[in-house]
Amino acid sequence: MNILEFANPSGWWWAALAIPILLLYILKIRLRRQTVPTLLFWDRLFDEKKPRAWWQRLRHLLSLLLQLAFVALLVAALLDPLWSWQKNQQRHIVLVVDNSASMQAIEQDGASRLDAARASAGVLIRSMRSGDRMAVLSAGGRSNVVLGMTDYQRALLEAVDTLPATDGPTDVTAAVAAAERLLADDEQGEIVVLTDGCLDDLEALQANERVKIYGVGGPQDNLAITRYQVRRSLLDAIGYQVLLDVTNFSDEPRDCRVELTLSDDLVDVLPLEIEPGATVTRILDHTSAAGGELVAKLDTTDALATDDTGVAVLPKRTPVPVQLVSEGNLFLQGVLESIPLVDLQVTTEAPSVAPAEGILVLDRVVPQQLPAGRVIVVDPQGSCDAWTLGEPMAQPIVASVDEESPLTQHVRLDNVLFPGARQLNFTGPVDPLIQDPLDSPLLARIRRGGGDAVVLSCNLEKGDLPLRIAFPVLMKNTIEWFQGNSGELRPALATGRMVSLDVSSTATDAPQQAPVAENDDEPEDLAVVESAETTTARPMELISPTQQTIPLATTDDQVTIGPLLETGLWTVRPAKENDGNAALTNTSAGQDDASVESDDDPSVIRVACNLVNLAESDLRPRGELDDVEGRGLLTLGGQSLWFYLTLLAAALIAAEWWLYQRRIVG
Amino acid sequence: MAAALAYIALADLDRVSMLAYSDTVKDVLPLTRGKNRVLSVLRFLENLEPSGAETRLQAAATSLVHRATRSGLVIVLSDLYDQQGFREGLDLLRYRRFEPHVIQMHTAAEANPTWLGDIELEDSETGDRRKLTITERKLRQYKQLYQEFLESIDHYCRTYSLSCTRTTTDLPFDELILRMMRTAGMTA
Repeated sequence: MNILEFANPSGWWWAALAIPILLLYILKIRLRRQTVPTLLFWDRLFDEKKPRAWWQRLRHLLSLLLQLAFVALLVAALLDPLWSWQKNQQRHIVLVVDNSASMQAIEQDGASRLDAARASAGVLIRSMRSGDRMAVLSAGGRSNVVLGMTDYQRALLEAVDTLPATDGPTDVTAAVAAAERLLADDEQGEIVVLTDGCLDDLEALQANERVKIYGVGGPQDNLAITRYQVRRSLLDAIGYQVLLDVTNFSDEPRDCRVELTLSDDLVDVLPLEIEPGATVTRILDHTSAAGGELVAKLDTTDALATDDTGVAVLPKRTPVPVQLVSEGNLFLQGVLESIPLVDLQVTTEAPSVAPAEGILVLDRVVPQQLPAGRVIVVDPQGSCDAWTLGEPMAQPIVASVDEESPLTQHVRLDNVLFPGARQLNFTGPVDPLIQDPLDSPLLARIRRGGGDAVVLSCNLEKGDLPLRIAFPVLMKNTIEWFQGNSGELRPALATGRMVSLDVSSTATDAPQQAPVAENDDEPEDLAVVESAETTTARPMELISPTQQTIPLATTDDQVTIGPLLETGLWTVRPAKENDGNAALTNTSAGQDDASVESDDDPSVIRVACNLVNLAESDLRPRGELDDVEGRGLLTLGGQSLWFYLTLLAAALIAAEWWLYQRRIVG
Repeated sequence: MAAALAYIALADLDRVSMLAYSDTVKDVLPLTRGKNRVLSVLRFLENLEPSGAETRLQAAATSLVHRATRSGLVIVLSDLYDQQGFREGLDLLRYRRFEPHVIQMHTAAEANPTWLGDIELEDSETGDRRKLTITERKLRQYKQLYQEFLESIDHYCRTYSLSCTRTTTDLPFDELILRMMRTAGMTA
């Protein structure tokens, strides 16, 4: 049984290097000859330390032996000898590199933690022995096999060097699980994790004997936006609320300011004083009909820049065209004009349909065919296809109010008289919202296919209803209910999350709905008036914050995007004809993209994405980690024999040079 | 250089004799006088060849004092690379009341060699060879040794009030003559 085997037997050819060395020794190199007037001084100089004769004879032979020994060591190293036990123990290693958001933190030396991890990975890869195999997995956002098992060091180094930084959360546990699956058939396989230790399940990973965890980077202070959302106010049509959390991940109290901008216009500046380890929560109320990109930015400079900025999408509020058909009703007109976002137009002729995306208000005017669309009828004086006008009510006093309905929220009408109210015999299904003691509806919602209608049976000029607070509240509720809650909330996602979007309306003119929010109170058939025509969904594409284009596949008008590993605004839009089949490409920053950045484009869905991750923003390792520097894969079984042979050869040639310089060898 | 000095002396109607030497006197130009003898001086100098033997000034000085009937000015034109030492020869001339004047000539490379590494040096006089490995350190030691040799010549000449002129072979002889005359105060 051979104790020593050679992994590279072709290295024997290098032994031929000894031939020219021997030839040169035998032939000797002809010395330069220089004529001098006298040897007087040279003789005196060299005769002072005249070498002994036997040594003089041996010094050239010693030089030859040293050179031959150097060649022998070099050949031995190239042969890559392996002990027999090594031959049977080739290592399989899975290298898990954490490329999560915290790995973007800048260390004291100016390099990021991911750069340090790449360097450490390079050390590990270069210390591989012949026959060793390694795979590379990333653990940022979602674990991913970057490169499968291979013994090709150059490919491994390239895979590590091109590993992208992500803003995603750490997923080392899943990556380790994937690594264990890769090594399912190899009980001796090892898993090496390169991370900054900013993960909560570090102890559990360290308990796994199969996993070796090496740390990069040191503890760093950080100030981070850890929660950031914006929503339209439920009470104010043009108001919005901002929810902001800022956390101080350091041992010192910190002062900072948060600048809030809406489409680059400064909205607010918020000074904060945050105790060590504390989180400050602020809820801010502002008003703006315009939507856009609402950005919160910390004015501090710390190790991690990703979590210093939060971005959210504020839905735009578009004016609602309201057509009032009336012979003159100052109460009603005044109330409608006071409701924000109402674009009022007063006419005397009732149209056949309600304004597109708008509301028709009929004051005492009732055509025989109730116009299609969203209609409010006040004090109807005639019959139509939806009801038949009955007798005046005997006791038109409010007896009950449906408090569950959004139309009657915050409306207090107990014992209020509705003079002039008349019986209405509806021909279709209705939801009575306000009733008199005999359960006759004073206010009712009529459900119909062409758009719902709301009927208020009350003569505004005779009663005191217009003088009460309840009346403008009631009209505002009705208008906003007709508007729906579109754009009420477009939640900003955390990095690493996936989301499904409804893209059915991206090919129509209908306003885009919120990506994930749903509201059960929204009228079911409001959007059918002008947009009943359906079109086939086009291929979609996803534009990253750095303008990378990713094709999307739509299924049943749904697209799933994610995991989003980049903070900023992501855009989903119909794919362009010329690049619909393009793979991941880099769009040129230019006019092409300018159009899709607009909030007015209904075919575009924008999704905000922020880090907002406590574990990632806390840049202090959760435990003690070993440093990989200088270790290589020593702990995995030691260096190869060729490594030591090469070191010995280098030492030998250095010694030969030193001896030659001192004339000890020739 | 020797021809120029001889011409100056002949032009002053001084008597001039020349001895060429290495380990012994190789050739002699007998005493002569008169400017018209300059051609025979030149012919004597042209016929001189390197002898291939080492330098021995003492032998030449001994021969000179035996030949000369009267003492006078003796100009020693040599590199003074005398294995036995140059002092004995000059001492002998002094003792016999000659007035030695030393003109030491050498090349610039002798004073400041730049060779490094393995080299074979050949003595141009004797043909002897040495295989040497010259290091920076050895080179420094050589320059120091050579400097000590020059200083020993200066010291000897100062001690016995001898005129000593040192020059390199790349200096034109007329410049050297003028420099010597300026030193002696014969010209401005």
